[in-house]
Amino acid sequence: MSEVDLDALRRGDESAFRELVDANHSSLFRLAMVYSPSRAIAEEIVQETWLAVIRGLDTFAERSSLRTWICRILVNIARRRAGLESRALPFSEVEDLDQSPAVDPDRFVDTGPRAGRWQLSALPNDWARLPEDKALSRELQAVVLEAIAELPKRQREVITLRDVEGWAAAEVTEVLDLEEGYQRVLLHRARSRVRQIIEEYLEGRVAA
Amino acid sequence: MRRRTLGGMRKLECVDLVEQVTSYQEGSLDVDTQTELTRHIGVCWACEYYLGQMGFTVRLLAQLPPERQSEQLWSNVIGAYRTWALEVRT
Repeated sequence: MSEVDLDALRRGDESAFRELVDANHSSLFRLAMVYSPSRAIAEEIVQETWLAVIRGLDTFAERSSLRTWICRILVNIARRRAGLESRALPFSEVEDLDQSPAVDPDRFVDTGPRAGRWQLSALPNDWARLPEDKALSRELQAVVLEAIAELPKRQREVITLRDVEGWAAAEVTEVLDLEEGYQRVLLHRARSRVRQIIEEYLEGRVAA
Repeated sequence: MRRRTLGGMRKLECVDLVEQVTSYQEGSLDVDTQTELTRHIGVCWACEYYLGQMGFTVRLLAQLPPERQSEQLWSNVIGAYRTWALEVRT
């Protein structure tokens, strides 16, 4: 996103404000959904965030980008409302650290000269050959949205900002207070899980 | 040792690739591991397909339709902004 003109915002320029809201709404709403039981509550969180942004415009210190600052405000509000006190979630959220493998271990050969390679009966297929109407269908989009919704919170935050909203790793670690390596682990788990669900949908293969 | 080695490094197989694929795509692996995985993908079409599936997944995520704000939300927020702007100017 191109940075909105901060001076214009501080002068009360409505078109600059509209641009800011339009550019950030999707990320904010999706992030709020991680903590919300409903779309209505997510919308309340987004609204509360904008009110806090307006109040803070004059004191925003520009140590981070505007959107990083705004998203940090949203995360604070959303977590507080969800009853989570700290912005840095405790490591006790063990659900996010589960070591479930990216692919069912039974799909690999256990011993012998082909140890560690795919079982011939369980090879991955070439999705580049899928007919376009299947690869781009609304039904598949719905499957992906549901897969994201069922991820543990930390994984869901990371995959939402990184892959759905297209943010860079550095900005995601800043907004979510994550260490870079941990961010990568969460992204890996989340992407691997979504791939499993897509495979299950496309090929009828049961995800582990 | 069950697996052959390559320049002192353990030869990586499909089962390793599926766990390292994100680090591989993010370019965060050490040079030896990155090189070894590139070698593996070059000779293993199944893993090439797997890599393609991960790419397919990432593209699908990027193509999800954006969320739009409701009229109600926008009118509440622009109302608050106008009030604030009035106070600032006066």
